[in-house]
Amino acid sequence: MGTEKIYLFDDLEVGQEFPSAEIKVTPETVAKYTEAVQDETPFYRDPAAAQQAGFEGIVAPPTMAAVYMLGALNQVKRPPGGIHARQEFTFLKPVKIGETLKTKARVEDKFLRKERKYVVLAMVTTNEKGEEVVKSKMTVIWAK
Amino acid sequence: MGQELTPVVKEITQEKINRYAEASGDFNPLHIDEEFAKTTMYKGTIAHGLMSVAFLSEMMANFAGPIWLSTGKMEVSFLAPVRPGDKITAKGKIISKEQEENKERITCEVWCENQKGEKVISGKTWVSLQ
Repeated sequence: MGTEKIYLFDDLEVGQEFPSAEIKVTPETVAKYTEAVQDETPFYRDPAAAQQAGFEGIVAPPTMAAVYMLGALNQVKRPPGGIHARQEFTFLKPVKIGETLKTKARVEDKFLRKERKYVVLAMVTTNEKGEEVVKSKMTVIWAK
Repeated sequence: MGQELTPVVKEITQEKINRYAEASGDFNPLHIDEEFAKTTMYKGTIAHGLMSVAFLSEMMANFAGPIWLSTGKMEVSFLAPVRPGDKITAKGKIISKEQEENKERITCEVWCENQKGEKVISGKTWVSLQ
C-alpha cells in the first residue's frame, strides 16, 4: 500500500528511493491493454503467432511498462495538477504472461527551469529471476 | 537514410480514453471527468500521454519485429494535448544507422501528429537489427 504522505517538490531528494510495487502479468491485463491502445500485433494476442515470432507464448506490449510504472508511482503521492513532460523507455527483455514483475522508483534529478519544478523519476522493472525487463524515466512538472 | 516508417493511425474517443484508464490504472480525473477537466487549463478531457507513446511503439514493432521488445529504446516529449475526436498519426523516419558488432543500431526520429498536422509528441527511438 502506498503511503498517504503527499510529496511536495521540496520534500524530494535526489537519490531518494520508494518501496517497490508488484504486478502479475495475466492474459486479462494484456488483453485489456492491447484493446485500450488498439494494438492488433499478433504476438500480443495469438499464441501461435507469438511462437512463430520466436517467443514461448503471448508477450506483453513493451509500453505496458506504463502500467508497471504506475504501480511504482502510486508509492509517490503527488500534489494534483502535475504535467507529464517527457518519457523514456528502454526495453530489455520481453515480458511473458504469468510473470510477476517488481518496479522500484527513485528520484534521479530535480531542477527549476523557467520557474517550473521538474522532477525526473527513474524506474527499473525486474522479473522473478531479478533480470531487468524495462527501465523507465519520467519527467514531471511538479505542481507544488 | 531518411526511409519513412509505415504510419499508424488511431481515432481517439472518450470511450477509448476510459478504456486506457481502466487498463493502466491511471484514473486522473483530467482524463475521464469532463466536468472536472473543464475547470483546468485544458478546458476538457485529454488522453493519457502514454497512450500515444503506445502508438509509436506499435509503429516500431511493425518496422523492427520482435527484436523491438528486447533492444528498443524511446525518448519522447509531450508537446500538446490529445483530445476526444482527434485522429492521431504516428510517423517516423530513419535518421542514422550504426554498425555494432553483428547488429545495426538504427536511430529514428518519431512523432505523433493530430488531424491538423500539429505534433503532439516527438522524440527518438533506437533499435538493433540483426
